[in-house]
This record gives sequence, C-alpha cells and structure tokens, in this order.
Amino acid sequence: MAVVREFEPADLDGVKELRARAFWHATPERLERDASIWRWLETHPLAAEHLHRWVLVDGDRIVGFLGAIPQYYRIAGRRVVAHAPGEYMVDSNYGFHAVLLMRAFFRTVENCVTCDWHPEVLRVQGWLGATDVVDLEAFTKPLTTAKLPVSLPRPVGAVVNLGLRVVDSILTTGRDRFEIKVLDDFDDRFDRFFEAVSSQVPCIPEKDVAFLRWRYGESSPHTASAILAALDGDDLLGYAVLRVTPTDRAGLMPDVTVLPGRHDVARELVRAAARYFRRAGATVIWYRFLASPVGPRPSDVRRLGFIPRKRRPRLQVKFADPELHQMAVNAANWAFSYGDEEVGFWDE
Amino acid sequence: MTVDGAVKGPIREWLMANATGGRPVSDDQPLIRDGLLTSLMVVELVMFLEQQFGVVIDDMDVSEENFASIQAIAELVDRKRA
Repeated sequence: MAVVREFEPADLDGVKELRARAFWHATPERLERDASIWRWLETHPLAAEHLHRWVLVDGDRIVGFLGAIPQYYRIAGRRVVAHAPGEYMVDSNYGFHAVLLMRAFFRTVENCVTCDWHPEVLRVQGWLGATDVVDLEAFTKPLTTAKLPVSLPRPVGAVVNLGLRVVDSILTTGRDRFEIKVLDDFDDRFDRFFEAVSSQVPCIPEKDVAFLRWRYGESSPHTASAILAALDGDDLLGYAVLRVTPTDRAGLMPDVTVLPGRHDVARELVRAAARYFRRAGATVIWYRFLASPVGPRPSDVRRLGFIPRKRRPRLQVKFADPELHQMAVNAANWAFSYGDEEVGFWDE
Repeated sequence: MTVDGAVKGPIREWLMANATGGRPVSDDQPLIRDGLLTSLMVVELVMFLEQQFGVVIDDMDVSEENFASIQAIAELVDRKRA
C-alpha cells in the first residue's frame, strides 16, 4: 500500500529517479536543472520554517512527490505567508494517490496561492478548497520562423524573417515618453516602488529588493538577462525583468510591473522589451500575466504584434482568514506576474 | 458487510461510463491496484457520490481502503448514510 510521508534528505535519489520517469522526454540537463531548483528554493528566507515536501512511497520505492513552496504576500495591507504546490508528480500507476499528496499539502499550509494549467490539478485543488480567481493572459510573438509550426524552404523562410523584422520594427518603434534604462541590479528604488504599488493594490506577492535579487539575481536559476526601468527623474515608474533562455533562445518577460494606472508605461516597457529580445537574438517571446492596473492592457500587447494563446494558466487561492480569502478571490484586487511564484520557477 | 444493491448499481454505472470504457466491473475488482481511478476521477466520483446519495464525503474519507473496490465504496456510502 502506498503511503504519504514527509520528505527526508535520503529521498533525493528516489525523487530524481521519479522525475526521470515522470519527465521521460526531458534531457539529462533539464532534469538536473529541475533538481537544482530545489537547492535554490532552500535559500529562500522562509525555507527553514515553511518549505515542506512529501513523498508517496510504496515499499522502498518513491512513486510520488509534492512540495509546498512558501512566499510572502501582501494581502489587504497584511504580510502573510502563502504556499504554492510545487513539482507535483506521481507514477502513472498511482493516479489515485495523487489526491493524497495534494491533501497533505492543503492539510499543512494555512494559505495557498497557486497558478497552474493542468485541468486535473486545478480540479483537485478546487475540490480541496482552492477558489478559481482568473485565467492569466498568455501571448506569444514569433521573432523568426524558427518557432513557426511549419518548416519553410530556406528562401521562403528568409523572406518571412525579413517580413517579420519589418512588421516588428513598425510595431515596436516608438518614441518613449519617459526614459527607459537598462539597470545592472535592483536597488533601493524598487523598495519604494513596491510600497507605492502595494499601497494601492490589495493583493500582491511581496516583491521588494530582497525578493527580486533572490528571484532574478546571480544565484537564481533565472538570472535576468536585462532589467528595464522606466524612469521619471530618479523615480521608478515601472520595470520589466527580461530573460533569454539559453537552450532555445526564447525571450521571457517574467515580471512587468508599473505604478497603478500607468498602462502607458507598461506598453512602452513591453515595446522596449521586444526590441531588446530581437537584438539579443531571441527567436520568440512568451509573455503571461494577469491583466491589472499595474501591467499592460492586453489590447496594447496585441497591438505590439503579440498573438493570444489559448492555453492560459489559472490563478487559484485559499486563505484561512475569511476576510483575506474574500479579498483574494476578486481578480480586480490582484497584481500578479507569471514569474512571481512557483509556476514561473520551472521555466527553462 | 451487506450493502444494498441500489448503492452498488449507480457506482458501477458511473465507473463503466467514466473509468473502464464500458467494460463491466465486479464488486471486488481492485480499482486502485488496476489503475482505474486517477486523481481527477476520484474527485469526480466523490462529487457523484455526494449528489447521488446525499452524503458528505470528507477528504479524509478518501483512502485506499475506502476506494479499493465497488464493495468498499458502497460500504463507505452506507456508513455515511447511517
């Protein structure tokens, strides 16, 4: 009979073998990278007290795994810890027991903020008490023919690539109405900026300088390729964190956040990001975000040549405090970027 | 434990419609060991049981013993109705 128990360090090899079975199509490098994510998560300030992991064991064989990844949120002005389920995987013969792992999660954590796109996971989480909030926006923007679903003959591909560059330059060339600078690091301005944003947005992951450095700094598996800052003098109007993935040269925008209501700033940051990615040799841009007053309008993103995608991750929440839960189930109260929590941790 | 056939019948029909692709299921066929119940199906089955029999099934009731077979599920429903 399979049972759920807490993860122990000696389980690492068993989890590694489970990961290789669950993601049989992944390269050894990718599997090692996913394993390294946990070593990075162990460096989170909350990890010692709040990082939980469970394994599903049948005899001495590990057949399932689930983590609970903690994070600070600012909800209605209060700092609270909420968890997201992480790297949920179960051997195919143990589908029934997947529920038991998720139950261990919901029995342990007080609050949950999670973003996922697998219907089975969303359904199980919903049954265990998480409430649907909203589907995130999801866009893609091909920069070359490399990521098109059909392969083109070389001369045709060259013409299409030229066409993409011309259209893109028309769509993304504009005069910035404020200064957009590339920064080397997150500095004190980001603390002031976060306080300004969180004072007007009731539900937001706590993204102060300490978090942003942990999330996108040198020791992160997702080190930023560039930090774009929109500045009015020395004041930060907004920023965009950009990454170009090393293997398939995809451009990612895990975090674009602006002062509430400054959709114009968000639009210019996305425009500048598209220019950056093209210069950096990216083949495609992926962008997922929750439409909110602190991000771009989806219509603006479309006008910049981004194509909406059908597959959209869904935000779900569960807060023990009924007042906080009531606040958090309202999508209009949220500011949330794809890179803010667990869902973005596994991006290559 | 003797369980009313009126409980087992709807459970069997649900499993045939949702889990076995129409193949018949005996009362003691091991549903979990045979991989017939996935996590999503457990959730759907619990919702079906609650609606069909007017019982409330707590998440702690979802165990390998209680969902091992049609017989075990029917006994769970019977206990919940008692």
